[in-house]
Amino acid sequence: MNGNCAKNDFLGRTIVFCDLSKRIAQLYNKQRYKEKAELRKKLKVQSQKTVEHKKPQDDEALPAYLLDREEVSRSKVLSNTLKQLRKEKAGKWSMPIQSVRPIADMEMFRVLRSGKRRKNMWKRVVTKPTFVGQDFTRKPPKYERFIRPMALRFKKANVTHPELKTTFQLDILDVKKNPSSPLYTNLGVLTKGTIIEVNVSELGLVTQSGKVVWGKG
Amino acid sequence: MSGEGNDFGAPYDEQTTIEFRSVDGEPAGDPIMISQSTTTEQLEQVLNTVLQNDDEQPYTFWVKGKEISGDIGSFLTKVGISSSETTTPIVYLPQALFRVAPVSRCSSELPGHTAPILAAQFSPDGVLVASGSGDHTLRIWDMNTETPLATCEGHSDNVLTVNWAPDGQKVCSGGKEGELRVWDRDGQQRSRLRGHTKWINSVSWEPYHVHGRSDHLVSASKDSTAKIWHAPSSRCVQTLSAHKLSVTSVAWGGEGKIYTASEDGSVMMWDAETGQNRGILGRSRTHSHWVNTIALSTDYALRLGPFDEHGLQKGTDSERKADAQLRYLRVKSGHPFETGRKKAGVPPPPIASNMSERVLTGSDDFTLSLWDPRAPLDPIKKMTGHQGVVNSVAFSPCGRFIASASFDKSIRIWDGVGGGLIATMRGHVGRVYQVRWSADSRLVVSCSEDSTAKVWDMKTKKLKNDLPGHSDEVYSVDWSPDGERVVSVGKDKNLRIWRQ
Repeated sequence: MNGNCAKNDFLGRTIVFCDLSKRIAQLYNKQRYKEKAELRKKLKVQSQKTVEHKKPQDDEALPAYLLDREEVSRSKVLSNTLKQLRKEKAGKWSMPIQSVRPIADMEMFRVLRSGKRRKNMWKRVVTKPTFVGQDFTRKPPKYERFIRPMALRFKKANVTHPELKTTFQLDILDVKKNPSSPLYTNLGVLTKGTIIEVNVSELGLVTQSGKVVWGKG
Repeated sequence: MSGEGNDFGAPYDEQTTIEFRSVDGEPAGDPIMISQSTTTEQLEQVLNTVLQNDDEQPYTFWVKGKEISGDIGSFLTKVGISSSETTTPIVYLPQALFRVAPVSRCSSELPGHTAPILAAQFSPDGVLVASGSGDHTLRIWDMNTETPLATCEGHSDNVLTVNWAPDGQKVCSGGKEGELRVWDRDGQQRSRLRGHTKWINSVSWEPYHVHGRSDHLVSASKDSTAKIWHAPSSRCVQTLSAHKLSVTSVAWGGEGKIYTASEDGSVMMWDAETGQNRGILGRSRTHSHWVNTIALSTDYALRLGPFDEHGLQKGTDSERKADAQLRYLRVKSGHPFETGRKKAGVPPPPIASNMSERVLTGSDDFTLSLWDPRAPLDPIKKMTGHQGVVNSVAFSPCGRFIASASFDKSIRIWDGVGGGLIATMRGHVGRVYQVRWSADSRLVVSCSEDSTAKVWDMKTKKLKNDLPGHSDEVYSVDWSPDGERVVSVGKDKNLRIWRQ
């Protein structure tokens, strides 16, 4: 038996498929399915527990300035904070960006023919909005593989504050992560689900930069 | 003056030229040469002599918006002003003659309410405290004996607001069922005002100096209207409806205008006589989120009416009305303590000034705005800096300072005329719910979700005293007009009285 086709299953365990005979493979798959089902159940329970329990407004005596506000009971807040911290440490399950469709190269780039006879096809033009930064200078055209047209370069983003429900136009400072590919992150492409850094000094917050989940679509 | 420093052999032997200026920019006397080691106390003596005051008036001194502390020389170097050649203008700000001692100990803890207490206020003469609670009652407590006086039952739901009338005879309670009830000092019900369909957010009485009586009051409710009532006849005189969402706060100004703040982000002005809408503060909206509170620069004078800081009022009706009027005008003009030369014991007339009654609004968008209602299109200043919802704002009794309490656990002190930030006071570990000034504008008391109340000193801009002891959130706090006591109420159903 060739024992070289090894793979990692979803829990990170290394398995060598070719080594398994049919019967053992069946047993293995059954066990794997059980584990997966258990994990799914755990996830469901965890996601339900993070629902914040709102204080019942009827039997609670609150002063006038607290009446219209949704108050969360203090004990729940503490346990929720802890759970949130644990989740972030685990990291894998809580990315909202997973639901974004990854963008294919063909959709993102347009081929630009170059050369005297328009035969060379190694250049690509980006077709989506990008952010390049203030001190951006192009590479010499002979070596430039990815072209970002000036018309599609953006400096400002419309940011909606979820609590205040108002939208501000803020300067983009950096593109942190594009979910489709690290290549897009390097290029500074802004597609749906891109995490960008904006300048929030206008809002009067203490820290200089904030994070926005949804970039330009 | 210039010789004092030299006589003591002080390290700064240099002289500096200063010129005293009043807050309006008027110079008081000629420029004076003083030694750089002059302290603020010595400056006070000099100024009192220059102004020929009969009483020794205390002052604070400000150069370019910063308060002078210690001696002049080190202060000027700290601020970065070269003192030898030019004449430094020093703005003097008179302070109250009487001093309020900072409260520090709990003199009594009064049980009685059976549910969290939501609001409390001292009567204008400082003798009684009224507290409204979730057990649907209003209780009146006597402060001389620190015992309960009366229990006022009648509301069918939580009592949310408590407001004493400036004549000191009546107290109005607003309930969650939308009713207002006016009670006597001994707890007898006088009127029952029905009309609102949702809970009462805020109540404001008509200023005493308008008619010499307290008959009218205005109430703000969640049903997006405000109503003006004539209490003796239990009649609703006017309904002010233009807001689209809950009206969170209302203030009856001394010039016949009523200001209402709403969750729809706008603050509207109304004519108190006719109930007509006089427009909005700002261009289209006052703030970009809920407006939580309104404060007027003359709030303290309007609340006390004819009573002075000792809780006394004059004998006849006309004298009381004149007194209230005088007090109001002095705070409004921005010269509340000016004594100057008294002629045969008669207090001097209020100094004529161009200042109007200023309106301050605090909002959920983390900012405050200071407005002059005569120019409502743009604010005097949009005061940013808080990192949480601004829940309570208060002008100092002299009208010169502003304190704002916010859910970001800090309290900020601002200049009451221009709106510039003076200090940020941190110390609370939970949301700060309310903030109140002492009668001499030197101390601030605040209450918070972290079950403490704290007393802050305006001179050092730091925490002066901690008032711990409540076992749960403290919802409301008030300072008595004579400065003797502080009352704090909260979720633990007890009323606590604090004294020096």
